[in-house]
Order: sequence, then structure tokens, then C-alpha cells
Amino acid sequence: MKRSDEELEQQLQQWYRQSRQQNGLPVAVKKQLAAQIAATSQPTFGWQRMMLGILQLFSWRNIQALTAVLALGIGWQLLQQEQSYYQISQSNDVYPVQVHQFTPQQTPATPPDTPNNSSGQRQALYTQKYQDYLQASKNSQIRRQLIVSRQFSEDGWHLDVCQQMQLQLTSEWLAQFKLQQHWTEPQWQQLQQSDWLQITTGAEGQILALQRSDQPPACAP
Amino acid sequence: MGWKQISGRLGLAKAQSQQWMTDYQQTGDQALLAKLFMLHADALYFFLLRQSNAELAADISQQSWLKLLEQRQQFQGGCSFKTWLFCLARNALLDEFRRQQRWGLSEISDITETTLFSEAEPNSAEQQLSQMQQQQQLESAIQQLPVLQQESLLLQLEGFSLAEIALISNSNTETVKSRLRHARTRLVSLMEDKP
Repeated sequence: MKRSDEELEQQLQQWYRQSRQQNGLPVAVKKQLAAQIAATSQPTFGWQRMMLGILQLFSWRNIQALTAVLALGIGWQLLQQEQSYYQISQSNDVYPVQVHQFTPQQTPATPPDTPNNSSGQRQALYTQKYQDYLQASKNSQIRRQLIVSRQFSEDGWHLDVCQQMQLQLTSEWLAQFKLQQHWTEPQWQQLQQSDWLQITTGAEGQILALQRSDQPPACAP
Repeated sequence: MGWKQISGRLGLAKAQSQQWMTDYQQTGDQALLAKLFMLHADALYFFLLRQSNAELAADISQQSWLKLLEQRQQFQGGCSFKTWLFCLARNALLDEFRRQQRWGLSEISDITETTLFSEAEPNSAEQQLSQMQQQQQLESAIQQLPVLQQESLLLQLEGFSLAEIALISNSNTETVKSRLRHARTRLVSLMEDKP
């Protein structure tokens, strides 16, 4: 054997030893297989063969595939849950109070003008898929801007419109809106610190934008 | 270390495996199978890994061991237990490849004889660096080998004899010899081409 051949053999063996050592059967698979071996005894009879077949169904790849499918399913469910409706409900106390909130898809708000909602004080005025709302916020031609004073409540913000109307923005709504607007934390803090806010509403009364205002609301005397 | 030395060292494990398998056939004692599993699981997985990917290698490993459970009476003792196990695994891998239609049976290309490696003795630090580089080159070169050459080489490095490699790869010993010779020549050539 030539010297160069010997060197190649040494290199090959060294490479093989190292590579094999670094690439053993993964521990998780090894444990699973060892458990399967231990759990399976002499599959001589039909039912035992059937058990073995069932065990083979739980192969590493099948388990991975099943996990992926489950994860997709759960992800889909979560996505479904996140498809909330932007809902504005209104009640009449001393003056109208509008509550802006996101309602899960599973419990859609009662649409306006249906017989059932006429009896309740709270009237669902507007229901729309959040996605539609986002689209509307881009396309809306009818916009209205007004300056409101803001108060914090346990459940979010109360926006007072010249003591003629109150808008209640729930914490969930604010969180969603914050996400949708891509506000950074400093921007959010600035908004939090301001007593007055300028809101932009769309055709259906939905809030499209929120920003701080240096001027107080210009209310009629 | 030559192949005879390796074979000698592995001979004891081979005889032990043979005994365990024979006993397992007769008694069905799962502890014996567990011993066989612990002894050969990594080698089998590595053989499969080099020819597929981690996911498939783990899956075929599992299939093979479960098949062994199911078909243990089919082991006749005409070859070593390990050879039989590798046969099972290779067949399962081939089935999977056929299913996926990705079995690229490369033609063995003509390779010219070349000499390799410098005769100069490097110093220790240089030697270490050089060894690392050579290992990387070797890894890369092995990956470039045609499938059947790579397979024969891996099996030989695992300690299988020519006859056993022929049995596992469903060939004859002359073909295996030829594959091994071409594999080494190709390796040398590939490593020489590297800067």
C-alpha cells in the first residue's frame, strides 16, 4: 500500500469515527423506539401483529406530520378567533354613550334594525369584520374629525364629546388599534399623556385615527 | 489501522450480536432486542443519514427495528445479524426512494489515477489545521461520490466485509470492489482539485 493510500485510509477512518459520533440516532427517537421495543412482546398472534401495525403508525415521521397538522389546525383556530368584528354599541343615558370594541366572530353583534334589538338599551349600530374595517379605513371618503377630552377608566378610555356624547374605547379595542396603527411605545406614551385627542371617524362612526391634540375641544357655549 | 484489524475488533461484537439475535428468536426476550438496538442503532441511523436526511433516516430506522420485531423468525443466520439489519434498512430506504422517485443511481465515471498528499512533514499547529481542512475536504468529497460508491465506502468504514457489502447492496463482490476502488480514486481526485 502506498503511503498516500495509508494516509487516505487514516483520514477516512478518522472522518467516519468523528462523523458517526456526532450523528447518532437522536435521543428522542431512541427513547421512543426503545419504549416501543419494550412494549411489544412476541407479535406471533394476529392481534399482536395488529398492535405492531398500530405502533408503526406512530412512527417518528408520522408523529412529526401529525404535530404539524395539529399546529396548523390550532393556528387556524387562533386565526379564526382573531377575526373579530369592530362593533359600536350605543346606549342612551343622559347623553348617548358609544362603546367601541372588538367582538369575537363566534358572537357577532346583532345587526341594527332587527326586531330583537329594539327593546334593549344598547343598540348595535355597526358590525363589520375587522378586515373590512381596515379596508374601510383606507378607502373611506367620508371622514369627520373632532377633538375630545379623554379620561381613563378601568376598562379603557372615555372620550367626552362636548358633553353631548361619550365614546368608550375598551382596553381590547385600544390594544388592537395600537397594533393596527403600528404605534411605537414612545408614540403610545405621548398619546397617553395628552388630555385632549383628535379623532377621525369614518362614514359609519368607526374610529379611523387617534392623535394627541394641543387644543381643547371647541364646544358650543 | 487496516481492514483486517478493524474486522478483528468488530468480530467479538458480531458474534455477540449473533448470539443475542438467536436467543431472541427462541425466547422473544425483549431485553435481548434492546441490547441489539443499543449496540447497532447509531450505526444504522448514520448509514441511513448519509444517504438521506435526518427525518427520513429516523423514520427508516424505526421502520427497520419494528420490521425486525415482526420478522425475527426470518433471520436464518446465513449472514451476520448486523448485515441482515442493514439489508432490511436499505430495502426500506429504497422503497421510500422509489416512492419519492429520488433514487439517483449515478453512473460511475472514469477516473484517472493520480497521486496525492505532500510528502513534507508539517509542524504541529500546521498539522492540526491541515488535518481539519483535510477532514472538511474529505466530507465534501464523500458527498460528491456517486450513491453506490458512497454506500459501499460507508459500509466498509462501518466494518462490513466485501461479501457482506455485496449482500447488503444486492451486488456481487467484484462490483463492490470496483465501487470501492473508484470511490477512493474519485476521493483523491476531488481532494486534489481543492485549492
